[in-house]
Amino acid sequence: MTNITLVCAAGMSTSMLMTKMKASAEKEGIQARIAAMSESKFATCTEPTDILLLGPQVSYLYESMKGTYEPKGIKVAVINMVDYGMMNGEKVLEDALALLN
Amino acid sequence: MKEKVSVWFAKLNPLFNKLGRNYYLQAISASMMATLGPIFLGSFAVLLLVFPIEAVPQFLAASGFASILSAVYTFTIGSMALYVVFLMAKNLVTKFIPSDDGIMAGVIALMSFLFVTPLGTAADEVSAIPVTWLGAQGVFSAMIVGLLVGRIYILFKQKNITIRMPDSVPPMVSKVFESLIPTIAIGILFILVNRMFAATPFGNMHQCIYSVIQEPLKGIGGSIGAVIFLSLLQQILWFFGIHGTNVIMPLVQVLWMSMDAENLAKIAAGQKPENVVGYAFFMIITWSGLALGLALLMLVSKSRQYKQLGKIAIVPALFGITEPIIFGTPLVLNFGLAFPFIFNNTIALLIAYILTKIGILPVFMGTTPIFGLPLGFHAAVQGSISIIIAQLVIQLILSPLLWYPWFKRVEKKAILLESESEKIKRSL
Repeated sequence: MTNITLVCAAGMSTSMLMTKMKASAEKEGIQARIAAMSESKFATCTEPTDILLLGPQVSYLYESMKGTYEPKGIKVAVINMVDYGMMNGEKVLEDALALLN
Repeated sequence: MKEKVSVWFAKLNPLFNKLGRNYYLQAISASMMATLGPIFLGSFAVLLLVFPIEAVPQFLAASGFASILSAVYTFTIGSMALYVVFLMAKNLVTKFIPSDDGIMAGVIALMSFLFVTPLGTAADEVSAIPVTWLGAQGVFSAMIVGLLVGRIYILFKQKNITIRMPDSVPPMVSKVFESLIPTIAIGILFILVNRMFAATPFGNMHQCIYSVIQEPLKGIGGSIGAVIFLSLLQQILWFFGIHGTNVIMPLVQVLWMSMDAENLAKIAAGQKPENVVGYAFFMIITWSGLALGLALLMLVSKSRQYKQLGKIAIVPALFGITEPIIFGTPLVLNFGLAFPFIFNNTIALLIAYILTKIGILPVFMGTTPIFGLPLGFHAAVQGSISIIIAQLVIQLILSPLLWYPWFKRVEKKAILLESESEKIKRSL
Protein backbone atom coordinates (compact mmCIF):
# COMPACT_ATOMS: atom_id res chain seq x y z
CA MET A 1 0.00 0.00 0.00
CA THR A 2 1.37 3.37 -1.03
CA ASN A 3 0.15 6.52 0.70
CA ILE A 4 0.03 9.58 -1.50
CA THR A 5 -0.91 13.00 -0.15
CA LEU A 6 -1.67 15.95 -2.42
CA VAL A 7 -1.45 19.46 -1.02
CA CYS A 8 -2.36 22.86 -2.40
CA ALA A 9 -3.46 26.16 -0.92
CA ALA A 10 -7.00 25.22 0.07
CA GLY A 11 -7.19 21.59 -0.97
CA MET A 12 -9.93 22.36 -3.51
CA SER A 13 -8.36 21.68 -6.87
CA THR A 14 -6.13 18.89 -5.55
CA SER A 15 -9.25 17.09 -4.40
CA MET A 16 -10.42 17.04 -8.03
CA LEU A 17 -7.12 15.51 -9.10
CA MET A 18 -7.35 13.07 -6.20
CA THR A 19 -10.62 11.70 -7.55
CA LYS A 20 -9.04 11.17 -10.97
CA MET A 21 -6.00 9.49 -9.45
CA LYS A 22 -8.14 7.17 -7.34
CA ALA A 23 -10.08 6.12 -10.41
CA SER A 24 -6.89 5.47 -12.31
CA ALA A 25 -5.39 3.46 -9.40
CA GLU A 26 -8.52 1.35 -9.23
CA LYS A 27 -8.47 0.71 -12.96
CA GLU A 28 -4.86 -0.41 -12.94
CA GLY A 29 -5.21 -2.39 -9.73
CA ILE A 30 -2.67 -0.26 -7.87
CA GLN A 31 -2.88 -0.39 -4.09
CA ALA A 32 -2.76 3.27 -3.11
CA ARG A 33 -4.41 5.48 -0.54
CA ILE A 34 -4.68 9.00 -1.93
CA ALA A 35 -5.65 12.05 0.11
CA ALA A 36 -5.85 15.78 -0.62
CA MET A 37 -5.64 18.61 1.89
CA SER A 38 -4.48 22.16 2.41
CA GLU A 39 -0.82 22.82 2.96
CA SER A 40 -1.40 24.09 6.51
CA LYS A 41 -3.47 21.06 7.45
CA PHE A 42 -0.74 18.67 6.37
CA ALA A 43 1.52 19.84 9.21
CA THR A 44 -0.88 18.40 11.79
CA CYS A 45 -2.02 15.40 9.77
CA THR A 46 -1.24 12.10 11.47
CA GLU A 47 -2.04 9.76 8.58
CA PRO A 48 1.03 8.09 7.07
CA THR A 49 2.43 9.54 3.83
CA ASP A 50 4.98 8.02 1.49
CA ILE A 51 4.74 10.50 -1.34
CA LEU A 52 3.90 14.17 -0.88
CA LEU A 53 2.81 15.95 -4.06
CA LEU A 54 2.56 19.74 -4.20
CA GLY A 55 0.15 21.52 -6.52
CA PRO A 56 2.04 23.81 -8.93
CA GLN A 57 0.48 26.88 -7.28
CA VAL A 58 2.37 26.12 -4.07
CA SER A 59 5.61 25.03 -5.77
CA TYR A 60 7.39 27.76 -3.81
CA LEU A 61 7.01 25.53 -0.75
CA TYR A 62 9.03 22.76 -2.38
CA GLU A 63 12.42 23.51 -0.82
CA SER A 64 11.13 23.88 2.72
CA MET A 65 8.78 20.88 2.48
CA LYS A 66 11.60 18.79 1.11
CA GLY A 67 13.82 19.91 3.96
CA THR A 68 11.19 18.97 6.54
CA TYR A 69 9.83 15.73 5.14
CA GLU A 70 12.58 14.01 3.16
CA PRO A 71 14.57 13.17 6.30
CA LYS A 72 11.39 11.44 7.50
CA GLY A 73 11.49 9.21 4.44
CA ILE A 74 8.75 11.01 2.50
CA LYS A 75 9.30 11.65 -1.21
CA VAL A 76 8.40 15.23 -2.12
CA ALA A 77 7.63 16.46 -5.64
CA VAL A 78 5.78 19.23 -7.47
CA ILE A 79 3.07 18.03 -9.85
CA ASN A 80 3.71 18.80 -13.51
CA MET A 81 1.79 21.96 -14.35
CA VAL A 82 0.02 20.80 -17.51
CA ASP A 83 -0.82 17.37 -16.07
CA TYR A 84 -2.32 19.21 -13.14
CA GLY A 85 -4.35 21.53 -15.33
CA MET A 86 -5.59 18.72 -17.56
CA MET A 87 -6.41 16.72 -14.41
CA ASN A 88 -4.40 13.83 -15.83
CA GLY A 89 -4.72 11.50 -12.85
CA GLU A 90 -3.13 8.56 -14.63
CA LYS A 91 0.05 10.44 -15.51
CA VAL A 92 0.39 12.07 -12.09
CA LEU A 93 -0.05 8.70 -10.37
CA GLU A 94 2.50 7.10 -12.68
CA ASP A 95 5.04 9.89 -12.05
CA ALA A 96 4.44 9.68 -8.32
CA LEU A 97 4.98 5.93 -8.13
CA ALA A 98 8.12 6.30 -10.23
CA LEU A 99 9.57 8.39 -7.38
CA LEU A 100 9.69 5.31 -5.20
CA ASN A 101 12.00 3.45 -7.57
CA MET B 1 13.08 34.88 -22.35
CA LYS B 2 10.72 32.51 -20.60
CA GLU B 3 13.59 30.65 -18.95
CA LYS B 4 15.30 33.85 -17.89
CA VAL B 5 12.15 35.23 -16.33
CA SER B 6 11.35 32.06 -14.47
CA VAL B 7 14.91 31.65 -13.19
CA TRP B 8 14.84 35.21 -11.96
CA PHE B 9 11.49 34.66 -10.33
CA ALA B 10 12.58 31.42 -8.68
CA LYS B 11 14.99 33.53 -6.65
CA LEU B 12 11.95 35.09 -4.97
CA ASN B 13 10.64 31.69 -3.86
CA PRO B 14 12.10 31.91 -0.35
CA LEU B 15 10.19 35.18 0.11
CA PHE B 16 6.85 33.63 -0.86
CA ASN B 17 7.69 30.63 1.21
CA LYS B 18 8.19 32.93 4.20
CA LEU B 19 5.01 34.90 3.49
CA GLY B 20 2.94 31.80 2.83
CA ARG B 21 4.16 29.99 5.90
CA ASN B 22 4.25 32.91 8.28
CA TYR B 23 2.38 31.78 11.39
CA TYR B 24 0.93 35.20 12.12
CA LEU B 25 -0.44 35.66 8.61
CA GLN B 26 -1.77 32.10 8.60
CA ALA B 27 -3.46 32.65 11.96
CA ILE B 28 -5.00 35.95 10.76
CA SER B 29 -6.32 34.38 7.60
CA ALA B 30 -7.70 31.26 9.31
CA SER B 31 -9.37 33.37 12.00
CA MET B 32 -11.07 35.71 9.55
CA MET B 33 -12.34 32.75 7.53
CA ALA B 34 -13.68 31.11 10.70
CA THR B 35 -15.92 34.11 11.42
CA LEU B 36 -17.80 33.31 8.23
CA GLY B 37 -20.59 31.34 9.95
CA PRO B 38 -21.75 34.01 12.41
CA ILE B 39 -21.21 36.80 9.86
CA PHE B 40 -23.28 34.97 7.31
CA LEU B 41 -26.12 34.38 9.75
CA GLY B 42 -25.99 38.02 10.84
CA SER B 43 -26.01 39.26 7.25
CA PHE B 44 -29.04 37.16 6.59
CA ALA B 45 -30.83 38.81 9.50
CA VAL B 46 -29.89 42.26 8.18
CA LEU B 47 -31.01 41.30 4.70
CA LEU B 48 -34.45 40.30 5.97
CA LEU B 49 -34.74 43.52 8.00
CA VAL B 50 -34.12 45.69 4.95
CA PHE B 51 -35.65 43.34 2.38
CA PRO B 52 -36.40 45.16 -0.89
CA ILE B 53 -40.03 44.01 -0.84
CA GLU B 54 -41.73 46.36 1.64
CA ALA B 55 -44.14 43.71 2.94
CA VAL B 56 -41.33 41.66 4.50
CA PRO B 57 -39.87 44.30 6.86
CA GLN B 58 -43.41 45.46 7.64
CA PHE B 59 -44.46 41.96 8.66
CA LEU B 60 -41.29 41.52 10.74
CA ALA B 61 -41.88 44.78 12.58
CA ALA B 62 -45.54 44.00 13.23
CA SER B 63 -44.91 40.44 14.40
CA GLY B 64 -42.01 41.36 16.70
CA PHE B 65 -39.55 39.27 14.73
CA ALA B 66 -37.63 42.40 13.85
CA SER B 67 -36.23 42.73 17.36
CA ILE B 68 -35.15 39.09 17.33
CA LEU B 69 -33.38 39.63 14.02
CA SER B 70 -31.60 42.74 15.23
CA ALA B 71 -30.42 40.80 18.27
CA VAL B 72 -29.06 38.17 15.87
CA TYR B 73 -27.21 40.95 14.08
CA THR B 74 -25.85 42.42 17.34
CA PHE B 75 -24.44 39.13 18.56
CA THR B 76 -22.93 38.09 15.22
CA ILE B 77 -21.56 40.94 13.09
CA GLY B 78 -22.07 43.42 15.88
CA SER B 79 -19.86 41.27 18.13
CA MET B 80 -17.35 40.26 15.47
CA ALA B 81 -14.38 41.42 17.57
CA LEU B 82 -15.23 38.89 20.30
CA TYR B 83 -14.99 36.00 17.84
CA VAL B 84 -11.86 37.45 16.24
CA VAL B 85 -9.95 37.88 19.49
CA PHE B 86 -10.62 34.30 20.56
CA LEU B 87 -9.80 32.83 17.15
CA MET B 88 -6.58 34.83 16.67
CA ALA B 89 -5.09 33.56 19.93
CA LYS B 90 -6.31 30.02 19.38
CA ASN B 91 -5.04 29.78 15.82
CA LEU B 92 -1.67 31.34 16.59
CA VAL B 93 -1.09 28.88 19.44
CA THR B 94 -2.04 25.84 17.35
CA LYS B 95 0.35 27.03 14.61
CA PHE B 96 3.28 27.34 17.02
CA ILE B 97 2.41 24.37 19.23
CA PRO B 98 0.40 21.80 17.24
CA SER B 99 -0.14 19.68 20.37
CA ASP B 100 -1.95 22.55 22.16
CA ASP B 101 -5.60 23.02 21.16
CA GLY B 102 -5.30 26.75 21.82
CA ILE B 103 -8.61 26.93 23.67
CA MET B 104 -7.10 28.25 26.91
CA ALA B 105 -5.20 30.92 24.99
CA GLY B 106 -8.43 31.89 23.23
CA VAL B 107 -10.23 32.19 26.56
CA ILE B 108 -7.43 34.33 28.02
CA ALA B 109 -7.52 36.54 24.92
CA LEU B 110 -11.27 37.04 25.24
CA MET B 111 -10.84 37.93 28.92
CA SER B 112 -8.03 40.37 28.11
CA PHE B 113 -10.08 42.00 25.38
CA LEU B 114 -12.94 42.56 27.82
CA PHE B 115 -10.49 43.99 30.38
CA VAL B 116 -9.53 46.76 27.98
CA THR B 117 -13.12 47.40 26.89
CA PRO B 118 -14.69 50.32 28.76
CA LEU B 119 -17.89 49.67 30.69
CA GLY B 120 -20.69 52.10 30.16
CA THR B 121 -23.86 52.79 32.09
CA ALA B 122 -27.23 52.55 30.46
CA ALA B 123 -29.96 55.08 31.14
CA ASP B 124 -31.53 52.89 33.81
CA GLU B 125 -28.24 52.72 35.75
CA VAL B 126 -27.42 49.19 34.62
CA SER B 127 -23.75 48.55 33.84
CA ALA B 128 -23.39 47.63 30.20
CA ILE B 129 -20.72 46.91 27.65
CA PRO B 130 -21.12 49.39 24.82
CA VAL B 131 -21.33 47.37 21.61
CA THR B 132 -19.25 50.07 19.89
CA TRP B 133 -16.01 48.17 20.35
CA LEU B 134 -17.36 44.68 19.87
CA GLY B 135 -18.18 45.17 16.20
CA ALA B 136 -16.22 46.34 13.16
CA GLN B 137 -14.53 49.19 15.05
CA GLY B 138 -12.96 46.78 17.50
CA VAL B 139 -11.70 44.24 14.97
CA PHE B 140 -8.15 45.57 14.72
CA SER B 141 -7.90 45.88 18.45
CA ALA B 142 -9.18 42.30 18.74
CA MET B 143 -6.59 41.10 16.26
CA ILE B 144 -3.77 42.80 18.16
CA VAL B 145 -4.95 41.57 21.57
CA GLY B 146 -5.53 38.05 20.23
CA LEU B 147 -2.11 37.73 18.60
CA LEU B 148 -0.34 39.33 21.57
CA VAL B 149 -2.03 37.05 24.10
CA GLY B 150 -1.36 34.05 21.87
CA ARG B 151 2.32 34.98 21.61
CA ILE B 152 2.72 35.49 25.37
CA TYR B 153 0.93 32.21 26.07
CA ILE B 154 3.31 30.45 23.67
CA LEU B 155 6.28 31.98 25.54
CA PHE B 156 4.97 30.64 28.83
CA LYS B 157 4.49 27.21 27.30
CA GLN B 158 7.87 27.10 25.58
CA LYS B 159 9.71 28.32 28.68
CA ASN B 160 7.70 25.80 30.68
CA ILE B 161 6.49 28.40 33.17
CA THR B 162 3.52 26.56 34.60
CA ILE B 163 2.20 24.80 37.69
CA ARG B 164 3.07 21.16 37.32
CA MET B 165 0.79 18.60 38.90
CA PRO B 166 1.83 15.08 39.96
CA ASP B 167 1.20 12.45 37.28
CA SER B 168 -1.64 10.93 39.29
CA VAL B 169 -3.78 14.06 38.74
CA PRO B 170 -6.19 13.53 35.83
CA PRO B 171 -5.03 15.36 32.67
CA MET B 172 -8.21 17.44 32.48
CA VAL B 173 -7.54 18.83 35.95
CA SER B 174 -3.85 19.46 35.40
CA LYS B 175 -4.68 21.29 32.17
CA VAL B 176 -6.66 23.85 34.14
CA PHE B 177 -3.78 24.38 36.56
CA GLU B 178 -1.29 24.62 33.71
CA SER B 179 -3.08 27.61 32.32
CA LEU B 180 -3.39 29.39 35.69
CA ILE B 181 -0.06 31.21 35.57
CA PRO B 182 -0.45 32.54 32.01
CA THR B 183 -4.05 33.54 32.78
CA ILE B 184 -3.08 35.51 35.87
CA ALA B 185 0.03 37.08 34.32
CA ILE B 186 -1.67 38.08 31.06
CA GLY B 187 -4.76 39.23 32.94
CA ILE B 188 -2.73 41.56 35.14
CA LEU B 189 -0.85 42.83 32.09
CA PHE B 190 -4.06 43.87 30.36
CA ILE B 191 -5.51 45.40 33.52
CA LEU B 192 -2.39 47.58 33.59
CA VAL B 193 -2.65 48.28 29.85
CA ASN B 194 -6.20 49.44 30.42
CA ARG B 195 -5.11 51.79 33.21
CA MET B 196 -2.39 53.18 30.98
CA PHE B 197 -4.73 53.94 28.10
CA ALA B 198 -7.25 55.46 30.50
CA ALA B 199 -4.63 58.11 31.26
CA THR B 200 -4.24 59.03 27.57
CA PRO B 201 -6.57 61.36 25.65
CA PHE B 202 -7.95 58.27 23.85
CA GLY B 203 -9.49 57.00 27.08
CA ASN B 204 -9.15 53.35 26.15
CA MET B 205 -7.03 50.98 24.07
CA HIS B 206 -9.70 50.33 21.43
CA GLN B 207 -10.12 54.02 20.68
CA CYS B 208 -6.37 54.43 20.36
CA ILE B 209 -5.94 51.49 17.97
CA TYR B 210 -8.96 52.58 15.98
CA SER B 211 -7.75 56.16 15.54
CA VAL B 212 -4.05 55.43 15.15
CA ILE B 213 -4.15 52.24 13.05
CA GLN B 214 -7.55 51.20 11.71
CA GLU B 215 -8.79 54.55 10.35
CA PRO B 216 -5.55 55.52 8.58
CA LEU B 217 -5.20 51.99 7.16
CA LYS B 218 -8.72 52.22 5.82
CA GLY B 219 -7.72 55.40 4.02
CA ILE B 220 -4.79 53.63 2.37
CA GLY B 221 -5.80 49.97 1.91
CA GLY B 222 -9.48 50.71 1.44
CA SER B 223 -9.05 52.95 -1.61
CA ILE B 224 -9.71 51.82 -5.17
CA GLY B 225 -6.03 52.49 -5.92
CA ALA B 226 -4.92 49.97 -3.32
CA VAL B 227 -7.50 47.47 -4.49
CA ILE B 228 -6.18 47.70 -8.05
CA PHE B 229 -2.58 47.51 -6.91
CA LEU B 230 -3.31 44.35 -4.92
CA SER B 231 -5.28 42.85 -7.77
CA LEU B 232 -2.35 43.39 -10.15
CA LEU B 233 0.07 41.94 -7.62
CA GLN B 234 -2.19 38.94 -7.16
CA GLN B 235 -2.41 38.27 -10.89
CA ILE B 236 1.32 38.80 -11.50
CA LEU B 237 1.98 36.19 -8.82
CA TRP B 238 -0.51 33.85 -10.53
CA PHE B 239 1.29 34.52 -13.81
CA PHE B 240 4.38 33.06 -12.21
CA GLY B 241 2.35 30.10 -11.02
CA ILE B 242 1.97 31.21 -7.43
CA HIS B 243 -1.37 31.24 -5.62
CA GLY B 244 -1.53 35.06 -5.57
CA THR B 245 -4.83 35.24 -3.71
CA ASN B 246 -3.35 33.32 -0.80
CA VAL B 247 -0.36 35.61 -0.66
CA ILE B 248 -2.18 38.96 -0.68
CA MET B 249 -5.34 38.12 1.30
CA PRO B 250 -3.84 37.77 4.78
CA LEU B 251 -2.35 41.25 4.33
CA VAL B 252 -5.69 42.98 3.74
CA GLN B 253 -8.39 40.57 4.87
CA VAL B 254 -8.83 42.06 8.34
CA LEU B 255 -9.13 45.57 6.95
CA TRP B 256 -11.47 44.65 4.11
CA MET B 257 -13.68 42.42 6.23
CA SER B 258 -13.98 45.10 8.90
CA MET B 259 -15.00 47.57 6.18
CA ASP B 260 -17.68 45.09 5.11
CA ALA B 261 -18.83 44.78 8.71
CA GLU B 262 -19.07 48.59 8.88
CA ASN B 263 -21.39 48.50 5.88
CA LEU B 264 -23.57 45.87 7.52
CA ALA B 265 -23.65 47.91 10.72
CA LYS B 266 -24.81 50.98 8.80
CA ILE B 267 -27.54 48.99 7.07
CA ALA B 268 -28.70 47.42 10.33
CA ALA B 269 -28.94 50.92 11.79
CA GLY B 270 -31.08 52.02 8.86
CA GLN B 271 -28.34 54.14 7.29
CA LYS B 272 -26.59 53.98 3.92
CA PRO B 273 -23.41 51.88 3.68
CA GLU B 274 -20.37 53.92 2.63
CA ASN B 275 -17.47 51.60 1.86
CA VAL B 276 -17.55 50.92 -1.88
CA VAL B 277 -14.63 48.50 -1.81
CA GLY B 278 -14.06 45.68 0.64
CA TYR B 279 -13.63 41.94 0.78
CA ALA B 280 -17.06 41.17 -0.69
CA PHE B 281 -16.56 43.69 -3.51
CA PHE B 282 -13.16 42.30 -4.42
CA MET B 283 -14.17 38.64 -4.29
CA ILE B 284 -17.44 39.04 -6.17
CA ILE B 285 -16.12 41.27 -8.95
CA THR B 286 -12.90 39.33 -9.56
CA TRP B 287 -14.62 35.97 -9.08
CA SER B 288 -12.63 33.15 -10.71
CA GLY B 289 -10.01 35.70 -11.75
CA LEU B 290 -12.28 36.19 -14.78
CA ALA B 291 -10.98 32.89 -16.13
CA LEU B 292 -14.48 31.53 -16.78
CA GLY B 293 -14.62 33.55 -20.00
CA LEU B 294 -11.52 31.81 -21.28
CA ALA B 295 -12.99 28.41 -20.43
CA LEU B 296 -16.10 29.35 -22.44
CA LEU B 297 -14.02 30.41 -25.46
CA MET B 298 -12.14 27.11 -25.27
CA LEU B 299 -15.35 25.12 -25.22
CA VAL B 300 -16.22 26.41 -28.70
CA SER B 301 -12.61 26.41 -29.95
CA LYS B 302 -11.65 24.63 -33.16
CA SER B 303 -8.35 23.58 -31.61
CA ARG B 304 -8.67 20.07 -30.24
CA GLN B 305 -6.24 20.74 -27.40
CA TYR B 306 -8.17 23.78 -26.17
CA LYS B 307 -11.55 22.20 -26.69
CA GLN B 308 -10.56 19.28 -24.51
CA LEU B 309 -9.23 21.60 -21.81
CA GLY B 310 -12.43 23.65 -22.03
CA LYS B 311 -14.46 20.52 -21.32
CA ILE B 312 -12.31 19.70 -18.29
CA ALA B 313 -12.16 23.25 -17.00
CA ILE B 314 -15.72 24.50 -17.45
CA VAL B 315 -17.45 22.77 -14.54
CA PRO B 316 -14.87 23.65 -11.86
CA ALA B 317 -14.72 27.18 -13.35
CA LEU B 318 -18.48 27.57 -12.82
CA PHE B 319 -17.70 27.06 -9.12
CA GLY B 320 -14.85 29.56 -9.18
CA ILE B 321 -12.07 26.96 -9.25
CA THR B 322 -9.69 27.84 -12.04
CA GLU B 323 -6.53 25.84 -11.51
CA PRO B 324 -7.29 23.60 -14.52
CA ILE B 325 -7.47 26.62 -16.83
CA ILE B 326 -4.45 28.33 -15.25
CA PHE B 327 -2.18 25.30 -15.39
CA GLY B 328 -3.74 23.44 -18.29
CA THR B 329 -3.60 26.24 -20.89
CA PRO B 330 -1.09 27.06 -19.33
CA LEU B 331 -1.52 30.70 -18.37
CA VAL B 332 1.57 30.51 -16.21
CA LEU B 333 4.50 32.25 -17.95
CA ASN B 334 2.45 32.37 -21.13
CA PHE B 335 3.29 35.76 -22.59
CA GLY B 336 0.69 35.43 -25.33
CA LEU B 337 -2.10 35.58 -22.74
CA ALA B 338 -0.30 37.56 -20.04
CA PHE B 339 -2.12 40.83 -20.69
CA PRO B 340 -5.68 39.62 -20.12
CA PHE B 341 -4.57 37.30 -17.32
CA ILE B 342 -3.01 40.16 -15.40
CA PHE B 343 -5.30 43.08 -16.29
CA ASN B 344 -8.81 41.62 -16.65
CA ASN B 345 -9.48 41.78 -12.90
CA THR B 346 -8.44 45.41 -12.81
CA ILE B 347 -10.72 46.30 -15.70
CA ALA B 348 -13.66 44.61 -13.99
CA LEU B 349 -12.88 46.26 -10.65
CA LEU B 350 -12.69 49.70 -12.25
CA ILE B 351 -15.96 49.23 -14.11
CA ALA B 352 -17.73 48.00 -10.98
CA TYR B 353 -16.28 50.84 -8.93
CA ILE B 354 -17.46 53.47 -11.40
CA LEU B 355 -20.91 51.86 -11.69
CA THR B 356 -21.21 51.93 -7.90
CA LYS B 357 -20.02 55.53 -7.67
CA ILE B 358 -22.57 56.74 -10.21
CA GLY B 359 -25.27 54.75 -8.49
CA ILE B 360 -26.07 52.09 -11.09
CA LEU B 361 -24.85 49.36 -8.71
CA PRO B 362 -25.72 49.63 -5.00
CA VAL B 363 -22.91 49.72 -2.44
CA PHE B 364 -22.19 46.13 -1.44
CA MET B 365 -23.89 45.08 1.77
CA GLY B 366 -20.71 43.40 2.92
CA THR B 367 -21.82 39.81 3.47
CA THR B 368 -18.77 37.56 3.24
CA PRO B 369 -19.07 35.64 -0.02
CA ILE B 370 -18.55 31.90 0.23
CA PHE B 371 -15.84 30.44 -1.97
CA GLY B 372 -17.08 27.43 -3.91
CA LEU B 373 -20.60 28.66 -4.57
CA PRO B 374 -21.47 28.64 -8.29
CA LEU B 375 -21.58 31.72 -10.50
CA GLY B 376 -24.42 34.07 -9.58
CA PHE B 377 -25.19 32.34 -6.27
CA HIS B 378 -21.80 33.56 -5.13
CA ALA B 379 -22.96 37.15 -5.62
CA ALA B 380 -26.48 36.55 -4.27
CA VAL B 381 -25.41 37.06 -0.65
CA GLN B 382 -25.28 40.83 -1.27
CA GLY B 383 -29.05 40.72 -1.46
CA SER B 384 -29.21 42.76 -4.64
CA ILE B 385 -30.43 41.61 -8.03
CA SER B 386 -28.23 44.16 -9.78
CA ILE B 387 -25.09 42.79 -8.15
CA ILE B 388 -26.03 39.27 -9.28
CA ILE B 389 -26.58 40.60 -12.80
CA ALA B 390 -23.25 42.44 -12.59
CA GLN B 391 -21.43 39.19 -11.76
CA LEU B 392 -23.16 37.36 -14.60
CA VAL B 393 -22.41 40.12 -17.12
CA ILE B 394 -18.76 40.37 -16.03
CA GLN B 395 -18.23 36.63 -16.26
CA LEU B 396 -20.34 35.69 -19.26
CA ILE B 397 -20.01 38.76 -21.50
CA LEU B 398 -17.16 41.05 -20.43
CA SER B 399 -14.69 38.26 -19.63
CA PRO B 400 -14.99 36.37 -22.96
CA LEU B 401 -14.71 39.72 -24.80
CA LEU B 402 -11.56 40.65 -22.93
CA TRP B 403 -9.95 37.28 -23.62
CA TYR B 404 -11.14 37.00 -27.22
CA PRO B 405 -8.47 38.90 -29.24
CA TRP B 406 -5.62 37.34 -27.29
CA PHE B 407 -7.07 33.86 -27.31
CA LYS B 408 -7.70 33.97 -31.10
CA ARG B 409 -3.97 34.47 -31.66
CA VAL B 410 -2.82 31.53 -29.55
CA GLU B 411 -5.68 29.42 -30.89
CA LYS B 412 -4.57 30.06 -34.48
CA LYS B 413 -1.09 28.82 -33.63
CA ALA B 414 -2.47 25.74 -31.90
CA ILE B 415 -4.70 24.87 -34.86
CA LEU B 416 -1.76 25.27 -37.23
CA LEU B 417 0.39 22.99 -35.06
CA GLU B 418 -2.38 20.44 -34.79
CA SER B 419 -2.99 20.27 -38.54
CA GLU B 420 0.75 20.01 -39.23
CA SER B 421 1.21 17.12 -36.84
CA GLU B 422 -1.85 15.55 -38.43
CA LYS B 423 -0.20 15.85 -41.85
CA ILE B 424 3.02 14.26 -40.56
CA LYS B 425 1.05 11.43 -39.01
CA ARG B 426 -0.78 10.78 -42.27
CA SER B 427 2.38 10.82 -44.37
CA LEU B 428 3.99 8.24 -42.10
